[in-house]
Amino acid sequence: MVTGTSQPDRDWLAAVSRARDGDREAFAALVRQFSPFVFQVAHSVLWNVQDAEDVAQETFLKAYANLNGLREPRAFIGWLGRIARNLAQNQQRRRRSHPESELTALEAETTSHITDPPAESLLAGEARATMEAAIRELPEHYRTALLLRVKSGLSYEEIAAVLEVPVGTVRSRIHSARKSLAAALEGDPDSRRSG
Amino acid sequence: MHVECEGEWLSSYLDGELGAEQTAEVERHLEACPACRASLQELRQLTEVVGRSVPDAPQGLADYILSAIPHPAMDHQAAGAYVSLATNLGIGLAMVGAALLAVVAPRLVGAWRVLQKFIRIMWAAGTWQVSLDRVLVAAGVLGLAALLVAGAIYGTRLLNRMGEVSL
Repeated sequence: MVTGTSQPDRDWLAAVSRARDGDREAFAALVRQFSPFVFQVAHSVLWNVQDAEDVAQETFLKAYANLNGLREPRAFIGWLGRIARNLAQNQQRRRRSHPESELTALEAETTSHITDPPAESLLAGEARATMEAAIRELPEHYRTALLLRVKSGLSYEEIAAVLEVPVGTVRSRIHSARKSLAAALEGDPDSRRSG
Repeated sequence: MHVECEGEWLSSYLDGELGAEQTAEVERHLEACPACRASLQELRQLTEVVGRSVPDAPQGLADYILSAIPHPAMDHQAAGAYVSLATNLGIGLAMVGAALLAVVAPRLVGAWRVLQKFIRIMWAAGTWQVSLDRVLVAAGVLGLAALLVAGAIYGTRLLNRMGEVSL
């Protein structure tokens, strides 16, 4: 179950059914509940806040247009996550084929289309930079699995549906990601103390 | 299950992703193994730091997304009905407009002639060297151009609206 909400499962399942029948308010409720998760999927691939926001918007537009093709409401999280991941990967490919856009991407890495107060929860300074660099160095499929667990609170089964791999693979990727991060941060005691 | 100092089990235990039996076995092992207790604590700290190192979704994200979602929401069937209604309404309005024009046109022509006469009288009193006929032609062309631009803007809006509905 995606965290950041107290809505029980049956509520979002009912909202998926209603949205599928054309209820815009139900779809808006789904956007409010699942947009942080979609953002994390896109951000873990692109590592760029603005691009992740755009991909999140595009994901929900696509979901809105195709929701009536979703047969089983319970499959919604995996389906939505796969749309977001595919769009983010397409964006990543476009970015690689146009290297000049890399500069803009770097500039936009921590800025947003949406004016928000600075996130208080972020670590300050060097410790944050070290951890961020270590996370960024992870292979994308390890990083996404770990961040969907840590940031979005998805179960291994839900992550497996997004990544289209068996649950055992998710278990092993998350463990490997943690192991790699621990190794990368071995020589940086500041990062550990910040926890 | 073999859990002795096995990191993958500790990672899954931390995430609450083990079954009841496996959880109990890991907990028994943790009671007896200080090294695994320390590893679990490190994993927990590491996970917290990871969570705080990655940005959360911006607070206004949902509104940003919803601003792009077409409104009102309609399914394809309703969109079809809407387009059909708009077409019929357009045809109806055009017919009413044509009928009104047929009734009013003679009066408009009369009024236009009176207006032309008035302009000519006023023009004759002026000192401008420009031909009045040219001025009237230019005014006619400008009026026609304004009508075309207004038509293009209205047509584009209508097409956009239909595009939104059919999404």
